[in-house]
Amino acid sequence: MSANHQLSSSPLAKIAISRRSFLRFSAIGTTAVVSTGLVGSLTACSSQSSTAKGFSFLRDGDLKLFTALIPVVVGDVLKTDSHNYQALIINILQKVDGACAALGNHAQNEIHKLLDLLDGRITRWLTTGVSSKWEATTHGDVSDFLIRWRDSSISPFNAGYRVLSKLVAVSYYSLPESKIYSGYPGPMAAMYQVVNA
Amino acid sequence: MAVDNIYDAGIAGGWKVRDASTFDKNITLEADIVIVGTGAGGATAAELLTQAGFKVLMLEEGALKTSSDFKDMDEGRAYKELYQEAAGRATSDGAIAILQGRAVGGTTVVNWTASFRTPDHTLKHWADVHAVKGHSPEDMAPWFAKMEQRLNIAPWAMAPNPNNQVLHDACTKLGWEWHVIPRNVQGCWNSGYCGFGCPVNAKQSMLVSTIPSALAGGAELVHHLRVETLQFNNNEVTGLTGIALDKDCRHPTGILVTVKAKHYILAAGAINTPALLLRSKTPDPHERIGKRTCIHPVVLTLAQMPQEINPFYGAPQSIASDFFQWKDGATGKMGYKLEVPPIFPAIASGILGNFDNGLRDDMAMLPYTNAMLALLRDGFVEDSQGGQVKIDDKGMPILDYDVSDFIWDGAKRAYLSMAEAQFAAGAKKVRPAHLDGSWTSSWNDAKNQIEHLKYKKFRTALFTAHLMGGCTMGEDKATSVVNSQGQHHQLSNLSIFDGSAFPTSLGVNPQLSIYGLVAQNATALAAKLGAKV
Repeated sequence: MSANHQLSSSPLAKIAISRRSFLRFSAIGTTAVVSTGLVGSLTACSSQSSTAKGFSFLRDGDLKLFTALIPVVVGDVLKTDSHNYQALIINILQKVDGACAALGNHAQNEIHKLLDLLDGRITRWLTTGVSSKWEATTHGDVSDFLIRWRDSSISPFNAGYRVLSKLVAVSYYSLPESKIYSGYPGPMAAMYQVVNA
Repeated sequence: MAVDNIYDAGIAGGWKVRDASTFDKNITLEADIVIVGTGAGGATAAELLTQAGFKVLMLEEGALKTSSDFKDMDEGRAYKELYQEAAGRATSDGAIAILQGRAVGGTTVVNWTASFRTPDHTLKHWADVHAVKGHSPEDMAPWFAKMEQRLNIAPWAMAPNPNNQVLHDACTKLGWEWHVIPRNVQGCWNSGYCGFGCPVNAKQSMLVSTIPSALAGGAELVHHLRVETLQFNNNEVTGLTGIALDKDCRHPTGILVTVKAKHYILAAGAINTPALLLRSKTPDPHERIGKRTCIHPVVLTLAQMPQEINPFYGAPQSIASDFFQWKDGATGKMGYKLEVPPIFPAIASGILGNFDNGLRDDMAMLPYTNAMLALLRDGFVEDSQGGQVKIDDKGMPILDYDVSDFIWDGAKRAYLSMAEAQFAAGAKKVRPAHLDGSWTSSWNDAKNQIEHLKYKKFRTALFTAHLMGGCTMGEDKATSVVNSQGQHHQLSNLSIFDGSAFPTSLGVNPQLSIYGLVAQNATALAAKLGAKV
């Protein structure tokens, strides 16, 4: 904890020596990158505050992140060249937003910290290896980031991987459009017809 | 066929059901007995105490949703409207996903209907180790029988669905004990939609059984009302304050409801009941509130079978195995019960844990997928004392739960048992729901992989649907919150009638344990308060 405290109160320049040292610190400190004061100090430059128009939890920067994540998490069942691709993305974003908005105060704070980390230019680069803005990333950039967090020996990165991938996957697979890709024929027909007659 | 949702006719006929989201001014309500929560515990108590002649008031933070709202048979709608935090609830560190209901009828509206008596081993352990009196297997038997009859609980008489058949075939082949799961259903369509609210009212949840009965007997129900605090002086509760929630049950409307009653019953479940006591700064001289929260940590393995499984259709749970449950007694190595969960697309995508075309390929195989789960029996030994419910700076509950090496050892052995079972039943491929898990094509390969997995939070997918403890019962005031009859040790007119009274986990799905214990304790309370009937 003392190492944490020391580092979190140090100037940004001293921390961001290299990604390698940042990650090594995290491994030693074990406390979450996501949940230490460190994140707060690094993301002070994050301008995210109010929710995006039409959303109740996600902010503009978060929408860009999830827009980049969606096709990578869901894979090529999502046809990016389809004429209704944008509408589908918005639909999934709304589901992600609704899921986050329903969470308790504590979980919402944790997710905000995670999203702040991914929104801040320096923290994003240090923790994900992605240096460009989310809207400028390639499928490969995002995939590399997810693999890095999934396979990391640092628990908070695994946690981040779990929450981001699950939010997107569950949101997509709760849409009727996804049914053909899961082989789920939909509500049991005999019963559905009767109760809706 | 229009399904009678029970409530339209009841309300038209004079049932006292009120939606606090529509209240436009603060009000005070009075009753003989007020009950916070309408799940397995609260609703069982409500029916019995109404029948005993008391004026009963039921309070529920969730919404009143009936079979009319379940007709879409839709997974996403159910999570959003019927589950705590839209099914996104988790332990404080996010490592264990929590499936818990939130509606009039509580979790009984969305559970998968498994109805087991509390195992004798568990009841004996409570008496021996936790100073619980009056709940021996012999004491409890008539109460379980009464509730089995009340809710039409009987072993599932139809053939298991293919998902459950996998567990049956495995146990038969390996010589493991297995049994048919008793279910609380009447006129069940064998459809598989128990988790989304039964659209035909076949499931005998509290929503269609004890709550309508209590209402018909004159009890009152106020929903969309979250109880914030209890007030008390000396050794008595003097009132409680609830805050009305908006239509979506999310945000307070600002309207307050005050309740004055002679007796107060908490039945808000093992997370919200201790949280309410903590928020209220209830006397707790030995700091027991919120302690020993047991959760039956769940691990899963997935199998791709040669034949169609369609794990979304059919009675979701009908076969279980206790072969590994009591092998080493109640206090040996961690025991576990094997069952299968129903698998719909959204929950499947969350369990699979992969992404991109790996996720695509696994999702495409859903109709051939069997999932198996182990309920790990926590709370029976020194190295497994459960977690702890706390409140955050806004008074909202959070659950801390550490996973000890004792539990990880159980998780690993459960993975091994389940993979062995799935291959024995003819699986082509098996993998654990773990970030390091990859598909294996033989029992030997699976065994090798499972031996070498990293048993850590987040890498291991962990779930719970059973919340128990946090206000444990016992005769020793230094180690428990309530006595064996559920009466609070410090506050004479406060009872706790839900799963939070259990001193350990159970080793079985909890609903019938709650029904039986509460039926017994509520009946004793009625006598104590001078039942009028």
